[in-house]
Amino acid sequence: MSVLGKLLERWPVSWLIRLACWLSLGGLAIMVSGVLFPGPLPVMAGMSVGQVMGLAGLGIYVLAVLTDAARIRARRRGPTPPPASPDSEPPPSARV
Amino acid sequence: MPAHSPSLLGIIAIVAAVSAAAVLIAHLVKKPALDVRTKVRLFLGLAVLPTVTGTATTADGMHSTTEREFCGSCHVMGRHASDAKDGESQSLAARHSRNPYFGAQSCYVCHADYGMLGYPMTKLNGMRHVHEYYLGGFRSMTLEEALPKIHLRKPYDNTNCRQCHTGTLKHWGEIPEHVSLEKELAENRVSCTSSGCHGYAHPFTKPDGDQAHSPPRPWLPIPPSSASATQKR
Repeated sequence: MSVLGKLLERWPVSWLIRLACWLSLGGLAIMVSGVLFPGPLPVMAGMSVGQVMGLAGLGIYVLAVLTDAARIRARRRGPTPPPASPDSEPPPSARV
Repeated sequence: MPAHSPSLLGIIAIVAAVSAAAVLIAHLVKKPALDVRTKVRLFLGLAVLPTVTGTATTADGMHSTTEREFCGSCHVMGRHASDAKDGESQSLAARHSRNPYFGAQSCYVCHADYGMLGYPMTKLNGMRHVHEYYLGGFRSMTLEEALPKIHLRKPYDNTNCRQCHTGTLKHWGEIPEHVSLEKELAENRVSCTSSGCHGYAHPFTKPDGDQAHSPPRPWLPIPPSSASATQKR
């Protein structure tokens, strides 16, 4: 299993969505600060850090929705059969 | 810096941001089940409304960077900005700033590069100014220390002047210096804003600034040989 797969297994979808919400809230605050206080740093931060945080929040949300959809699909398919033990007899098609 | 009243774009950005924040905070507080309705609501709060905020704040921010107040918000530019908006000042910058075409954006109108890539290139150069201010030591300098160190990276392009002062009027061609220095002006070897010509835009930044601050001298016909002795940058 990939590292991302392991992380997604450990982090529930609700946790990912909360992370997305907090990131977006931070990004929105930084973006709006550039409008309210139009100095060099707030404007630049709003157009860089703020937008990156907002995009990261959206990306994590999309990831969470995809993970949720994959889990729902897996549940509909039913429980997966346990992996075959190494000393079990191979299926007929695998016999030479 | 005190908060200022936002423009229409700024108001759109704030309304969209507040709406998005309301959706997100409601989700964080109520923690509803992740059904289709919640997903749509979150898509609104995480994608649609932040996109509106991002677009509006970018447009508003780009506009803010053209304002004289923005340029003058770094203390080393304070004297340039205050002179430009001084109604009594006779400097070239102040006289142009009183023209509504330049107005509150006089720094940008005069210093922006023209051409197709003028806008992004001017913005990129502005990033260098921010770098110089925060990381290049200008932030910790006093105004007196900074003024002698502030200089244009490349000679001021006469094209910027000639966007308005095209030189096609009959009167322009009647001035001997214009005629004798036509080639040098076109090649930027002589600046319109030399002390011997129309004066410095920001005279207080030059050692002979007071002289250049005086009203323009009457134009006298001069032979081409002495015209070449006109101060070059």
